[in-house]
Amino acid sequence: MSPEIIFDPYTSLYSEASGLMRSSAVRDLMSVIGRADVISFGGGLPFIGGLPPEDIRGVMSSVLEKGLNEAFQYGETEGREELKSALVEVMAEEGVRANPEHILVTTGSQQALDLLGRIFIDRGDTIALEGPSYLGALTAFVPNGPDILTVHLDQEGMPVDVLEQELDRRKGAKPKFIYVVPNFHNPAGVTMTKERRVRLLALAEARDLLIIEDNPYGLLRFEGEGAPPLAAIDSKHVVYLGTLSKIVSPGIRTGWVFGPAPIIDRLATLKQSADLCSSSLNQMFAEEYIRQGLWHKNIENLKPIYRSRRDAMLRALEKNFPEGSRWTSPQGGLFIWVTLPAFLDTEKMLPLAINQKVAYVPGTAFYADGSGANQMRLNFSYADEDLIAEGIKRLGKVIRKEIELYHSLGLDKG
Amino acid sequence: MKPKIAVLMGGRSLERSVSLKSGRRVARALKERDYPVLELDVDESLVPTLMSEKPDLVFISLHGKGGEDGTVQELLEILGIPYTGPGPLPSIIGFNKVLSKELFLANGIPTPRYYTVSSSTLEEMGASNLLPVAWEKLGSPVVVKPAAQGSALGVKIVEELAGLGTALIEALAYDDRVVMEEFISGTEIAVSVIGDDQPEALPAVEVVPESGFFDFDARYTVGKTEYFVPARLSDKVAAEASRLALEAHRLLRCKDLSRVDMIIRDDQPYVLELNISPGMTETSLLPLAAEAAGMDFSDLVERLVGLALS
Repeated sequence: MSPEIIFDPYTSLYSEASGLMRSSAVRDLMSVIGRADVISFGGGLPFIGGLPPEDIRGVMSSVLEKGLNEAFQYGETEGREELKSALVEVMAEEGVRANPEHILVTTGSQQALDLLGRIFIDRGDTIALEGPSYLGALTAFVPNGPDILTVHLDQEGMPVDVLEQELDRRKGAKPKFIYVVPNFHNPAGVTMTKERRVRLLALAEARDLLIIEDNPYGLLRFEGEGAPPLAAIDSKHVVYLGTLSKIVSPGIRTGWVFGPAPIIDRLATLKQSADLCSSSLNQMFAEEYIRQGLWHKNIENLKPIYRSRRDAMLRALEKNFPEGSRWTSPQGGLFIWVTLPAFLDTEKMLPLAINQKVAYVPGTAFYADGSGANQMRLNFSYADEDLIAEGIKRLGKVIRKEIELYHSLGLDKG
Repeated sequence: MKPKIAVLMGGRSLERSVSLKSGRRVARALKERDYPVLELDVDESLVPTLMSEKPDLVFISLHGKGGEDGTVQELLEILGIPYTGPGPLPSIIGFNKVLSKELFLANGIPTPRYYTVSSSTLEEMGASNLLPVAWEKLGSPVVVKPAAQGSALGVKIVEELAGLGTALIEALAYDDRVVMEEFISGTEIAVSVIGDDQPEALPAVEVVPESGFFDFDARYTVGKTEYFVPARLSDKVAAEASRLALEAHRLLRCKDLSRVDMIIRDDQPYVLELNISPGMTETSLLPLAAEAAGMDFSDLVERLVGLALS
């Protein structure tokens, strides 16, 4: 019918699991948003413009002083001792008491998600996820063929009573794990209340369930009072995922898992086949960066920037988005989650937006159960205040035009 | 010294990623044959760069709006730099399904029956009231597609009238105008045409999507599409397809290159559209057809360069 066709002569060779991988037209459209003139709220890119080059240079030369042999050689699969000790310090900042033996360093926390999916999920196993859920977790878990129980979020995070009812309803099918992002949820922007955290842990205790707590943004609270991580309240039923991507840099690909010893051990065995060990050079950079206390400095730099960008986005949304839209007001993190009038479809609307030089991620990408058609994720960490104002203005116009079209076709009811 | 060639790729079109693949591959082939090559991802610096670099030739590896719709060709006409593929007029017509179908119909080239609506007729003239009428006249199912967009983006086969509205909305996100076309079920083929005064049709490539419909997912999802080259056609039908491809090529005043996509029902080929900047990726149709005609990829690229410079 027209230009591009990708034929694949190796089709008969691929595994069934690779066939479950999620791929979509959206991914291809997104390649346009790398263009300078497109204002992108699509990616989850942290602001790295505030990292002072002289700090980085200082850390780098300390690393090299320690010796090339360490930095350019294979290291332990579990990760460097020095880094693990530094990560204990990072977790302590949020009240999580860990020790280095219970930590596995991973190549970004995305690797942790991949490894967890593979050690826990057999085809047909139940896992419980939030709706919406982190996209990277979905792509990591789905190829293992789980039966996904989606618990829809509200303003206070995952409603534990709904989870409980769902579990009752599915008697036999106890989930292998419950995956949650309690702080400044990606994409939903909401934070789970202390009460719910305690209830979720109590449920895990009562029913012997495992919780995977993913906490990439906890330290990026720029206003209000937070609740402690689940792992700080009671770490017995929790596998905790941390990352330096948002507080140092995503380019150094350094994340970690803190959890019960047998699980760490099983993950390490699998990591051995995945990549033997994470980059020694990057680990040394990370441990030195933390040792010098630069992470505190970076976080304190980022907070006012992110707060100001969030404010700019909230103001612009208020001004430009049509009646019947609503959105979250996160007190930290990187994302605002927008819900548009129910009849709209953000995936269908995306090309229109990209043609108007603005981009977002459509809501359906974040659900395993097909919901989210009228929702979108907006990132506020990457573009500056002026671009945010302009981009949201463009997006508001796109949405109004789309509504007009639905109206003229009589499809603006439901 | 061989001519200096600027390869244009990328840009802001929705087919950017495919275009980058095409362009990088073309650039590599040219370098292998010792041409000085300039790889340009199209943005606002394009014209100044072309003016200062003064390439002897521009190789257009752009797909979609901006590169395939005559825009870039018009710029190159002003700059006076020769370029690969057809000029502005065939580009404008080829990229616009309404214009090209009208020309096909007026000149006896079979093409599926169709109607068109635009966002303005829907919003300002109450055209939505016509949808049941069009549906009745075309017969179900109906194919809905943006008038100007490649890669089957925004294309839907609609089985029931109730689904027509949302299919229109989807297509209208790509272009202000939408084509509603009679669905013809049959063998999908593409015939590439190459050459100057005496253009020749390359062997037809047959495309077999597993889902029965060649949408974006079938194109890009692993294991969903099979192809046959040359297409599994009788000599008579293959000859008729070649004849129609050449006729469409000439009718639109194409120069050097085009790819004509058709569907064959009961031995009758129907022309769906003509592309002036076909994909050049490792698995694209034009290179496959060229290979079947004994031209490897570098030969094909060099042939197009030769044609553009002659």
